[in-house]
Amino acid sequence: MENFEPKILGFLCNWCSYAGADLAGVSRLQYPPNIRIIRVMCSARVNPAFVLKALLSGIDGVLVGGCHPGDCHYMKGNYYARRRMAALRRLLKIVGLEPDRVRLEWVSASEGIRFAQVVREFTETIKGLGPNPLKGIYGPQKS
Amino acid sequence: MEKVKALVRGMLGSGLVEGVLAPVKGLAEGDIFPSLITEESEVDRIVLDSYYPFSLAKLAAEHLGKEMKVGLVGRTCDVRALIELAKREQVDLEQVYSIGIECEAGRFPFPWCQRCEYLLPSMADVSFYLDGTVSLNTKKGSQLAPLIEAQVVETREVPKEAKERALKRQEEDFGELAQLEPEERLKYWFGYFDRCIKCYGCRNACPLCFCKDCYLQPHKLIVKPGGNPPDKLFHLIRLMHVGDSCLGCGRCEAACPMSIPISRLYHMLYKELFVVFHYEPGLDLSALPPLGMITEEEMKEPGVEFA
Repeated sequence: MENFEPKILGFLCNWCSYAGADLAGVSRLQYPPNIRIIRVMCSARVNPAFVLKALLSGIDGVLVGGCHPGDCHYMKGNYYARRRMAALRRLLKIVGLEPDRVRLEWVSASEGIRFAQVVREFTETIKGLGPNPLKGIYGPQKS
Repeated sequence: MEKVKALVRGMLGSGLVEGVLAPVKGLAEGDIFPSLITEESEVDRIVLDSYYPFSLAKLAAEHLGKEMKVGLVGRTCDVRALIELAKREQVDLEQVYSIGIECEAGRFPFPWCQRCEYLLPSMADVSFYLDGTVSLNTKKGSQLAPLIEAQVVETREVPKEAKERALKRQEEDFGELAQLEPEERLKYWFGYFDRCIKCYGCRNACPLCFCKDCYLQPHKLIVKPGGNPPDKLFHLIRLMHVGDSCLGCGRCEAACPMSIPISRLYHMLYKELFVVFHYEPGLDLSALPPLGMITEEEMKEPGVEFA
């Protein structure tokens, strides 16, 4: 597919990454519009089930943003997130999805430029991977 | 195995325990089911030389109060499950005397038994070996010394050959899937998931699935109600929940009416995660499940990759 525009879901933590994304917006930095952002209170709030549900629903990539280690508003949330994402990526590998479709990034509230850079990079990665193989075949059932 | 029965009789007779959980024989030939034995006269019904597909540890956590003093006679996988449940505060290990029975390597034809590296119940309070000897592995086990008729030996470790044999079988079972292209692997697993009839058999059989309010239930609004085959999320969520400390006991696969090789999937993920977290479930009560704890060292790590 030549002009494949991936759909990317971003779970950003309220205290750092979301503020970083906000700063990128306020600073009028250009980054790909492929990302849809959901604000969560902490990266540890991102249940791996959310990410799996997104992937099964046909989302091409999921970005999870948290505070840098040591900066978590809830002290330890991002460490839990790091462990969970490490496990989740291996789960994806086992069942046959590319682990690179899920990415964890630390973005602080002052790193607007970095946020734009991360989104740019991630969009490129997903473009390289191609559309989610689950799209249209194995989507969640309609009720 | 008469010596095990003698110990159980002694434990019941001396009033040390209120009951002993053990697999017992049923009315039909080859029938086997779990039972809480409270009378000395019932001890003879205990069966120790056949395979049993239920988890006594899970039954202890579900149906016996934490205050009840009981004994548990089971295979290594059951004793390991007991320790895992104790970590998750579902049973009080102080109240349970675990009596482990050694498994003969390659005795049971099931793939999960063939893959099992833990044939000797060295984590149990008392372990009985196939040659009729016994070892007392813990303080709690030593309390039982006066009741034991068998020859007491030192705690044994699993012989190298048995471990290698299991690892070889794991290589064979997991290797061929690891060789596949990702799309093929996806087709393989999702094809099997399409067979699922959502009977919750795997969840109900799994010794680690103890949540009273299970995530897979429809009211949680994650997995949609009804549906056959269910949303693939059903399998993936359960995999994520127990994959990090899967015992590889195969209770899930034994329970599956559609013969989905679930145990293979779970054990594969566990092996993959073992490389990252180095977590061996069911051996040491103080080692916590890797997704529920953090260490001081990792807090100094600035990267996004867990190392």
